Amino acid sequence: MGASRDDASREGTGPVTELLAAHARGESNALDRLVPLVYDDLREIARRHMSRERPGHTLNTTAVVHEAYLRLVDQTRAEWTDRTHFFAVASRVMRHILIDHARKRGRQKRGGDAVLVALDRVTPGREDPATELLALDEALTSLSERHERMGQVVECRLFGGMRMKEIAGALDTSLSTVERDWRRARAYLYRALAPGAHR
Amino acid sequence: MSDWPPPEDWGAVDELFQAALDRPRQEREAFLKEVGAERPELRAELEALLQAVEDADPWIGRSEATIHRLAREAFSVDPDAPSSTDGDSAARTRGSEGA
Repeated sequence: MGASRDDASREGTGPVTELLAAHARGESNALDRLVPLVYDDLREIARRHMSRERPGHTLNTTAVVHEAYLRLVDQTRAEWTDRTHFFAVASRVMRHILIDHARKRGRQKRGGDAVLVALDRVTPGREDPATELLALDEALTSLSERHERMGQVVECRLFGGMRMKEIAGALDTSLSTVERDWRRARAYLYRALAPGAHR
Repeated sequence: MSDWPPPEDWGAVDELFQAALDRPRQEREAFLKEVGAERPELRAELEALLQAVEDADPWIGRSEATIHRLAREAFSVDPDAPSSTDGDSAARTRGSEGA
């Protein structure tokens, strides 16, 4: 990760900056195209942050995402709202990174066998965290198919650690809409996943 | 996610769910009765969702803790772990093509 990497990153600000603007204009596939462009840098920055922290420390997602924004987005061309939109992109990337990690971990544990476990009725705190996360991811994908914005609110909140007001800015909607979405989304996810919540 | 409500009904459930949440607690029972008179199957669903709103908080808190735990693990610098040049993600490959 020396100078050559930094040079490559600087050259790479063009596509991210352009796609971020496209995403802000509401172009539907811009978000999916941004994820792979941000993936490596976000992971590297997060690793560096964690290596500086005490063991057991919680990752400061906000600081990581801000650093990624400064590295990947051309500041001279970005609008001030792009920073907020970038947080929503980074939330999705975080989700991808953690899912990839959970899958890899599951494979290692099962000695390379890709055994699928039943993903519903997973109890947070009692099951393997990787299994829990995969179950949550699956339920969240189903929720997004039914209500895209509600899914994005959950993604920003859980994976990006964003506050309600920041999510409203990132999704170009009102604070009350985000709060109402978040309240209903929690109930849907709880009902889909929590043991004892009858369906 | 459960099979009930069926996808074509889901929008209606979601709207009624929000409408119930918008009412003060003491008015919700009357609202549920009104819904149940026309569509009894939706009433049970709405009752379950209103209960889930009450129960979901600690569960979401535990899910957040799980995510933090996995993030710590995923980003911990482990000398034995594959370096950042590993090819574990299809996203990486697409990224290098697109860049």
